[in-house]
Amino acid sequence: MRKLLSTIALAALAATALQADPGGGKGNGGGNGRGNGGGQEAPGERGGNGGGNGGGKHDGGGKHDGAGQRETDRGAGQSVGQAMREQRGNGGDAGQRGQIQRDRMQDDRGKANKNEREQGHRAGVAQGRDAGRTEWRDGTDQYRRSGDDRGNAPRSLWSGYDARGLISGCPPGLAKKNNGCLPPGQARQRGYGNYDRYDANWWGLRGLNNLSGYRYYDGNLVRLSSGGAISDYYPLLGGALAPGNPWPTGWQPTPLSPYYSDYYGLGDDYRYFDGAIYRVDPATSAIQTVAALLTGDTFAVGQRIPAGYDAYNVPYQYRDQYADGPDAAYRYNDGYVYKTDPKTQLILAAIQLLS
Amino acid sequence: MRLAPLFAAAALFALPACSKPAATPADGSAGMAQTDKSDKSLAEMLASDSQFKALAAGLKSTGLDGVFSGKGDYTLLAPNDAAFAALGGKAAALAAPEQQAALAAVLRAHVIPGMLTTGDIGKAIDANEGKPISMRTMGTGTVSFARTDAGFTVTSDDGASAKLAGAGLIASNGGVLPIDAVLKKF
Repeated sequence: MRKLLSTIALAALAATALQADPGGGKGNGGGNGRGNGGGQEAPGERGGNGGGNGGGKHDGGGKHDGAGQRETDRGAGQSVGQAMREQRGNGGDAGQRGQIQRDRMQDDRGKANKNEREQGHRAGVAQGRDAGRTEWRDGTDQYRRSGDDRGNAPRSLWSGYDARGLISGCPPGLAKKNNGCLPPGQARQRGYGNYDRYDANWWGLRGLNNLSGYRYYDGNLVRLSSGGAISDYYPLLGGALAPGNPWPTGWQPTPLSPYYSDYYGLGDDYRYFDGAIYRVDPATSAIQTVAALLTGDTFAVGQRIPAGYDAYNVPYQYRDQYADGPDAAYRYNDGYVYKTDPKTQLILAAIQLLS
Repeated sequence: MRLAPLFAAAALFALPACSKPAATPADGSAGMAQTDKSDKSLAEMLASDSQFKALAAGLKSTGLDGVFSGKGDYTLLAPNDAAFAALGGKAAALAAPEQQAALAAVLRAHVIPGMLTTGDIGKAIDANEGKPISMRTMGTGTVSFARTDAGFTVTSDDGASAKLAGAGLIASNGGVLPIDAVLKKF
């Protein structure tokens, strides 16, 4: 399959890339006072508060320790430590807001990083208020989830994320055959590999909630038309998204926050898709490695720690520094250590780990 | 890389090849304490351990070995070769080249963020008054750890269960907890 796919020129995928920004603005001077408050909800979304943060400030002279950690300790209800881009409640036309705000946030991030470099700090405490939304963004405003379901929400409840859905069209390899996107007869006879009976949860996917009627074919989940042709598809880790295969050209680069690039050692060219980060050859756009897996769990300072973090799991090299005690318990997820209150289970701070 | 021969070879490892047991820990996880930290990455450690040939091959064929040779920290609930061998033809089918995405889905459900040791599990169970504790995986669910007279068991959301089998290993970028069964039904 991989050999087959490696010969495929992936082109013109309908979906744009996820603007994943785990930790964007976390300690990067993210609270910038830009929030307008009263952010607009996209149609069909669950109610969120959409409140702008405003008043965020970056304290470049904040905590700095020998290990180079950066602690983010923002107000209650803030969302941290997730592969998301933060939305700070700007109103405006929903159709254009994505690009505009992405540009702004990228600008802000750059400024903050510059300030930090100028001050000689890699660590700082960013403080501010952000009662606003957190979004997955792809420029189409589809991946939003409201502030109401942050914190404890398991991924299966992430509203709007299933809007990503399948990609309309034919998987590029099959499209090249110009046969109306009909899977080969052998594949049909074999029941598409016998894995089409499993749901998106079985596949470990976040982008296909509540999906039904798909089948597995050649490293993708696919949906068939009444005539048996593939009408939509979704590429899978280890399948269409495996080392050696070209990155779908229709998916734009997905810049993560500089912190994630540093923490996972991603280099200059990488992509995020549905819980995994891929390194990509800048010349050929072929996937080089699967660089990291992410839970995507949402941790919000002031909220209870999500389910599934009952045991101490801090990486070995940070255990001396972040040891559980009567006043603090520490948990690790997706590149961050979270300080929690052992009694209330509330998250007190998110700590970046840079050494 | 074709895994079928390796899965078949795994049948030769009918007896789990446990790492050397460490001293009995205070949390009751006798025989399952962690070994000393290694300078090897998780990927290197698995590739060089004779009880994880099938797992290491699966990680390589799916590309997930890159995750475990990187800078991020993970704990791998590592089915030993006997665990794959016990699946017989199902494991061979899963290892087929056209099924690598399914294999990746199975394997990611065995990955926990950060480093988790048997001592950590024991302390968490103690703190939970002896009741099972839950940990997130890189699939979409969680696994539950429980203490038994013989050590610990781990159970996935779909009911698949395994015993922790032998000493845990500490790599430069995380940990390995050997288990005696595959933790995902397929």
